[in-house]
Amino acid sequence: MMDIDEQEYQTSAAPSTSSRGLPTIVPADDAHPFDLESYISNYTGRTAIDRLIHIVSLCPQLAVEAYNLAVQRIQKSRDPSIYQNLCNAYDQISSHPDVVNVYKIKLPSLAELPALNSKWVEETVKKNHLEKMKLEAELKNYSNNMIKESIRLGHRDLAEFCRATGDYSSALKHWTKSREFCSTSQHVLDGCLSTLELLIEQKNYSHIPTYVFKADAALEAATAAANSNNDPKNPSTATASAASSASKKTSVLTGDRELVQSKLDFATALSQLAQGSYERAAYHFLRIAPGTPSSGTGGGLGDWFGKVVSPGDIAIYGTVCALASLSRSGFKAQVIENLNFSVYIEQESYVREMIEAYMGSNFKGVLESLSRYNTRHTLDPHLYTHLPSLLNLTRTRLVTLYFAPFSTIKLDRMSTAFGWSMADTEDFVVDLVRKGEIIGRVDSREKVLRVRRGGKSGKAVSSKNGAGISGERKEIWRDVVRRGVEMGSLNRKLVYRMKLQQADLIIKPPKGSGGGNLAPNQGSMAGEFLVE
Amino acid sequence: MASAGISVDDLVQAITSTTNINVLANNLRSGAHKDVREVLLASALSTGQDPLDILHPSNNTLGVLYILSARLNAPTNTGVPPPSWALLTQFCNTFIPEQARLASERMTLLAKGIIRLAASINNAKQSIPLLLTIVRRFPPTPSTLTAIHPLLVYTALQTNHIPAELPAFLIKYPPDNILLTSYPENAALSSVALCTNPSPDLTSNDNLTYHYLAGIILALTAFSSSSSNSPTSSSTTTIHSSSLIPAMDYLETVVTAPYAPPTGSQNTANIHALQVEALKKLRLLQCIALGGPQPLPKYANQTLNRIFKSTPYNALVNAFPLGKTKGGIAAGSSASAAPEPSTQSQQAPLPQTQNSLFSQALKDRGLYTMECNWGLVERVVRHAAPRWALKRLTETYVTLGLGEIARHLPGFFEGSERSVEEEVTRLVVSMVEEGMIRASISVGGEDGGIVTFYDELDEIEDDDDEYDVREAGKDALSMKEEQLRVLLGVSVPSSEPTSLDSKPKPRRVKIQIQTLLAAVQAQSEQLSALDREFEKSREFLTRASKLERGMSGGPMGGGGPFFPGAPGGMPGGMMDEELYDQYEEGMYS
Repeated sequence: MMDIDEQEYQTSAAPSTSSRGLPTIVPADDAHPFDLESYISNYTGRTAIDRLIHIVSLCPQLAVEAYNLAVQRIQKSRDPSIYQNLCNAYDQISSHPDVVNVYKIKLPSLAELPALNSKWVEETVKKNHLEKMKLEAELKNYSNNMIKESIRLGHRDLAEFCRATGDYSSALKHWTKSREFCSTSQHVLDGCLSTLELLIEQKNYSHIPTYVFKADAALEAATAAANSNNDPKNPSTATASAASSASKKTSVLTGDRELVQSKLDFATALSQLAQGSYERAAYHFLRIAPGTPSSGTGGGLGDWFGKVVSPGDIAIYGTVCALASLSRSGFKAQVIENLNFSVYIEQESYVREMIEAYMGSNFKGVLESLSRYNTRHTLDPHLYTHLPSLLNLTRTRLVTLYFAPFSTIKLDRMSTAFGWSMADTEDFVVDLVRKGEIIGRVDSREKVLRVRRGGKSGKAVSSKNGAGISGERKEIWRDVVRRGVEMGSLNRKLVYRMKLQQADLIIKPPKGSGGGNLAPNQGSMAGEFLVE
Repeated sequence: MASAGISVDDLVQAITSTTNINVLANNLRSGAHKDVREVLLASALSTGQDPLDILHPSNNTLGVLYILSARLNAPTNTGVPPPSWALLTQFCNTFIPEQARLASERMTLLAKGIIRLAASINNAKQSIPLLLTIVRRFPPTPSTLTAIHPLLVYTALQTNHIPAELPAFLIKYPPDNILLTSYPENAALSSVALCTNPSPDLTSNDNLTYHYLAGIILALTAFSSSSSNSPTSSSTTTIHSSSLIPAMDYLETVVTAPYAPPTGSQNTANIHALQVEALKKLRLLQCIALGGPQPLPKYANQTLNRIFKSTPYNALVNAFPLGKTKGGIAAGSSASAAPEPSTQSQQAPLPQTQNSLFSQALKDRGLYTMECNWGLVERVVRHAAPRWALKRLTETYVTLGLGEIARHLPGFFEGSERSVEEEVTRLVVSMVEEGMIRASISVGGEDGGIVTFYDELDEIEDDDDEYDVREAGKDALSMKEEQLRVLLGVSVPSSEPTSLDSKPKPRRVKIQIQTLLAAVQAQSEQLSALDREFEKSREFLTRASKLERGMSGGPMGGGGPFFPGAPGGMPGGMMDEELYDQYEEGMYS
């Protein structure tokens, strides 16, 4: 099993197939558990379909099952066009060479699988068309009446409709339009959150910070407004606004603010993840307030659970990013001692095991968990592009941690501790030494990694005669002398240069062409000797 | 002939009878009309006797100097016989420097005349020893730049004759001062005197030319004894050769030469073509001696860097030592803008090579050859590159098999009739000989032998268990003579012309910490003396008082001769900080 793991790492660290422009596909078996049914039951609506399509495209063992589930879910949705994406994903996996070569699976052709009910398709398209006409007519009507709130609602309805039917660009357009007709900060906030939802669904991470920023401002304003609204001494504002909005505002005060903040944190974390700044991503993931789907607006991500992510995802994202980017103490403070996050960790039991293994310095355990659940991670549409670099960072961090207390260590002990082969361990360690992550040198004969004496990490190490310390002193002596000599030489050069300046022997702009004429001749004359 | 009222007899009379040498100098310079004077000086006495027979070459230095320089430069058709070579030699060896410095332009004339005379008898290199004697004896210290210095190095390179003592001279006396028209009475102050009255025949070109050519001479010396470019050729001169470091210092002086700030209307920065050439050579030498290009000092003209970046040299030195590899291991290959070298280009039959640095160099071979740098480039890519690549390996590995080393240095050993292992062995051995790495090879094993690299500190620790700080200091201080020379600065007495032994190899001198301290103290004294000089100077006082009055003057470091390379802030270095402090002190006191 370990061998399989190792192979697994190699493929994910340096995917052999991706160089040919194909994604790496992953297995789902006993060694790589993945329960499709329970996984997908955490999601609803369009997110579920998108995730299923993602699974179809990457996991041959689950492709057929996921395909069937996806078809069922599509028929419950309002968007027949998404079926095309599903077919593309299925085509992609069935044409992937590794499916046959590595996994020995013969996938049935698309024709053998159940297709969409054509009657349903026709009806849905028709219904969508009618509804669109209706909504557009309504919007036009509202626009003529010039009632701001109605126009906003008209745009909002159209945006929701477009999103449900998969027309993302129109949806975004209508959300943007609806902003113009917002009369309260709460409306702006609602619009921003919906837009964020849309962007996450679209995986359009680069736009996320803009809307998070807008939402942040709106959240502040909405809270302030709600505060003043609740003030009983100020009755005039209460009469002005509708009863419904007043009740909404009250709720902003309580759980809503936390909820919105968590949503914004989640969105920010995703955008940071997409940019590869894993430490910041971890920070934001770990800040998300606890809460379960059942608790409603009491915390967590509220209606985003299911619609966008599952609590288990939060646990995975947060932990994986933290493992790759945080120091040991930072990890302890931000993950272990973080009561909020512990709620999420409970959602995925293996994440808890992984964290325990990490804190218990069982590095092999951490890496094995990461490898075992690589399928789970790869089948996550937000995480999978970052897995190789995250894994690499985690390994670097673990190896550095492992090596820190030693002055010499045999590579085979290291390879046992990490569950790697000797050659891989050596390559990896050599790479780290080159990058300066480890201050040491490799003895490729004896297969020993030695701390470099006089190096930074050598400070703590002192052999029996205290050679480590005196070595450091020698180093300082050398440094002092070297710097002294350098300084002396620099002084000489600068004094000379200063004298040249005083004497006005400086390079002046050429008069006509006289100035630089001498140079090329002399240069070539003199250089000729070097050619020999 | 002596129609202007004075004859050569009068002149000789004045020369022999004078008591005040300054008056004589003035008389000789402005006594007669220029044309008449030259003719007069070149002619014989009325008795037909040669005035030089009467004058003593040492006691009457000034007069003899005038006469000799006039004769040497007399138009050939006047029939004036040139002075004999023996006389010139005698004069050069015995003239009194203090007298001669009263007429420095005559000295330059004399030097030029000597070169011309030597060339006319088809033995140009004959002039070199004389010129060397002059530059050693004529200025107050041998490290004072005169207009004769560039003539010396130019002649040496032109005749392709570099006497052994020339590099030694260049190493020992890098210029740290310039020749002035007059010196203060107190000789002790001469080295810190303000250089506001430079000798009139010195130009900024002299400074550039001398340093550039001196740099080339030193580089040539460093490489001269190893003729082959093969990576494993054993050479007696090392890569850390004593003259490479000063060579780079010389070239750096060219690159960092002070420049006039660009005036508003003109776009072109004030850059001398020699500076660009010097920078190219400097970068290549840095690759050879230091393993990669080093950043330019802050006070250098940054436009130079821009110009350099547009040349293929930039990509080459940045790809050193392994070339552009697909893994991007090549150190700091920030200049990846240049396209990957296509191995077939205008050079017709390129050898198929795996060595990407070499093929990169070959791609622009035409240019390098045209700019006369191909020799250096070839040395960089074939000799220095495998060494530094191996050197970097030693930073990662403690032991390596010969075969493994060869795999880490792809392409460096191809085309050799020997086996790869043998080539690697030779490379390692030669590097150990050069002192570049410390290693031992144990023969046998599946890889044909195992190389063990020692850390820099390994040996010291194995030395003995009785450890003493002074010992460490001693060890650390075993540096080269010229480095100490640099530290000691101008305070080294110059009266040891015979001690310039022509040893090509550097003598590693062990210096005690006291010596170093003494050197440092000497230098600080120099600097504070310099400070005092500054505080006395009119310009400083004007500025300080102006600042005090206005307190709104421009930025403190805003140019001016007091702050070298001032635009862009104060360059690093203790001296500047001290100066700056002094400046402020002077301002507020």
